[in-house]
Amino acid sequence: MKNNRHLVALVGSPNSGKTALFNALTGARQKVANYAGVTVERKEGIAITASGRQVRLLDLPGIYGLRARSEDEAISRDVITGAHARQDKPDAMILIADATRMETALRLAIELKQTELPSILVLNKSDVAERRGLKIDIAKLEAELGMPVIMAAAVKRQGIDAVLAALDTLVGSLEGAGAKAGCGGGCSGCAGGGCLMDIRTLCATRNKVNAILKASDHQPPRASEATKKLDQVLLHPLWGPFILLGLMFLVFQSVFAWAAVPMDIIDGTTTWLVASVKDLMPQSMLRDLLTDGVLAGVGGVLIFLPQIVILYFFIILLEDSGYMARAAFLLDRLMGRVGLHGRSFIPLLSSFACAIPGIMASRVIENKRDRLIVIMIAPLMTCSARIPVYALVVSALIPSTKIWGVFNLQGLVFFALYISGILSGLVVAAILRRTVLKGKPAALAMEMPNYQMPNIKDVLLGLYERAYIFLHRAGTVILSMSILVWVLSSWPQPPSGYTGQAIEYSLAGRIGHLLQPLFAPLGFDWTITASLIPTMAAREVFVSTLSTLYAVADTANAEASLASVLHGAWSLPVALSVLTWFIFAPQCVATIGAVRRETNSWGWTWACVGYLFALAWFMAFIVYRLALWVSGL
Amino acid sequence: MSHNLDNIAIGVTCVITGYDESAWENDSEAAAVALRLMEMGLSEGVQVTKMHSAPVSQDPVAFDVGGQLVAMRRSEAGAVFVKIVASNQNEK
Repeated sequence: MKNNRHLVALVGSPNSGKTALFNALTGARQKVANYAGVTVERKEGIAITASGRQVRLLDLPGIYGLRARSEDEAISRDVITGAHARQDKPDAMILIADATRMETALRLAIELKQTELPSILVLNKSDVAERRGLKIDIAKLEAELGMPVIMAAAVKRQGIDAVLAALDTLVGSLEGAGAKAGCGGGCSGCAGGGCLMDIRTLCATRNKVNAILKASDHQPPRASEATKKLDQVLLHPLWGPFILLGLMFLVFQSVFAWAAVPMDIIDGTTTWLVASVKDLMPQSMLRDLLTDGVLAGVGGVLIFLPQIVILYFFIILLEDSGYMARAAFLLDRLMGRVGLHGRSFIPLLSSFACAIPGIMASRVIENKRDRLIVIMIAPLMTCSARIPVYALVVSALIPSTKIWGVFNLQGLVFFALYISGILSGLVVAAILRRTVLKGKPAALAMEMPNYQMPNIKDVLLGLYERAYIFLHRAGTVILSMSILVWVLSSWPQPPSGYTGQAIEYSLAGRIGHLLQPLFAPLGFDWTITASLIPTMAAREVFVSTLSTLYAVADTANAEASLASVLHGAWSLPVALSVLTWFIFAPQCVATIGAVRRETNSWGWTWACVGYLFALAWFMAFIVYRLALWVSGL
Repeated sequence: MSHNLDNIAIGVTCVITGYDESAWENDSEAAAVALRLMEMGLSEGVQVTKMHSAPVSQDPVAFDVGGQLVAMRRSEAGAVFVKIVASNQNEK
């Protein structure tokens, strides 16, 4: 049955409104995955045409023609030329272009005609174009181009019926047609001398485009006055950066403030479920696996969902409204100093909430090397899960004295912890740029789209997609890792006469003892070393593990009493060493899972874990020795 | 008089006269950037107006190209040759 449905590729230039058209044609009937072997997203959906035909619609990454510079563009080119190894060649194409940019639209159409795939051309944003004075004779244009041309405004869901009708005719004409056409030449890549040829082809195409436009009585639309006026403010040398800063503050604030309530609800539900299971089932390994492994693991994943959804709400809004390109414009030079592309700021900002959405958001960066650098440094941004650990250690061992009468020493230490993370991230980025990921950041040259009101349906669909990807893929990795960490810290169980802590007898405890010599130079005693293992599930687990190990009664004042225990048990150098460790250490399996997923490489994943571990060890060592030396003076 | 696109003041309108083709043979990156700029409409004979430059460093820069705003780094604009047509009164 599935084979009877034709596969139609949706191909268009960036900012042409491709995603909006895809959403309008398929509704929620879509599936997101990755192309095998790369991190380029593959979106497929089902469109139902006027006569009820079901058509598989494949949304391809944006391209300007048959040339490919990025991994994304190469996917699009390979799929429509039939050169892609794993993706079937489509039977036909829907080309989409911005009606206010007729030159780009026609060049795309002419270049993609070389593939000899039956096509229709959708001129999107026709409402805006016509309002601004676009004149074009569609009948003449169709005759010149040799393909049907449809005007549409996908964001407003206008002209969608016409597109579906044309799609019906297009697919209808395929039935009984012969074998799929091969590549009609022009399948060049932009490598080595390829570009020179491409530039010549481009010039020739441009002449053809101008001839067609003239023949179809084309009169270009005026520039968008609204966009010009907005840019006078948003790109203003003084107001521009201030507004950007304000927006970023709003995003950051919302991620923490708005997410607090749903996070509490999820946390409460998990706790309630754990309690219920404990009431219903007799004490057994299976019950502990369910409560401490599965439920705690799933709860640990779910709790990040509100932050991720809120964060993506803003990212999609900024992207769809056209502001994202402006933000990259304003920040490019600043980020460029350490070899980061202007677009890196969103994933890095997100990482202050949690490295997982940050690493996921690195997809806004097109260039693979630029993206890798961001993924590698994202874990260095201080995520919210580190706050409980910092709060505990700081309140236990840093005196709350005033410095110069204004600053609180505890607050200053907190600030220093954040700054150390950021600075080390920038240093690592600069080092990566000069060594393994050599080269300048990818070219910035980009169109800054006209501002537009995002369509709420597109925003919601985008949010649904992100949430699904997070729950589905991250859920599987994190869940299995949480179970593994649980097994390590609770198996084997101590014999009945055992007097010590259960964790001491477990694999984690034994590994703790085994690893003790490695951590002894950092001033970590056995309890700290053993706590590091369950902490791999999530950083904040460190606090509860320490409570267990120091046998702190689980009362309402547990944290305050733990702090006083630590005050007696740890010296200041040990506390500083532990804090330093937490700035750098690859201390959560969920992040490691996200790095693996987004880099699609175990090599990069281990490189990330390895360098963070080494950095944490050396920095903690230096801080510990320095502190010892200073306190010995 | 011929200028490079990176040295144009805000509000100035110019016509593209060509690209620094000498770099293309040895530097595929330069050719790729030129290709992308051409794809975005910066072809010979096209009129462009400088609209914005980023704060402090004045880099990157943004031009109006046929009603569309196109941004690029100054290093990328440096390979484009232009002839000045008009300076806007709004120029600072």
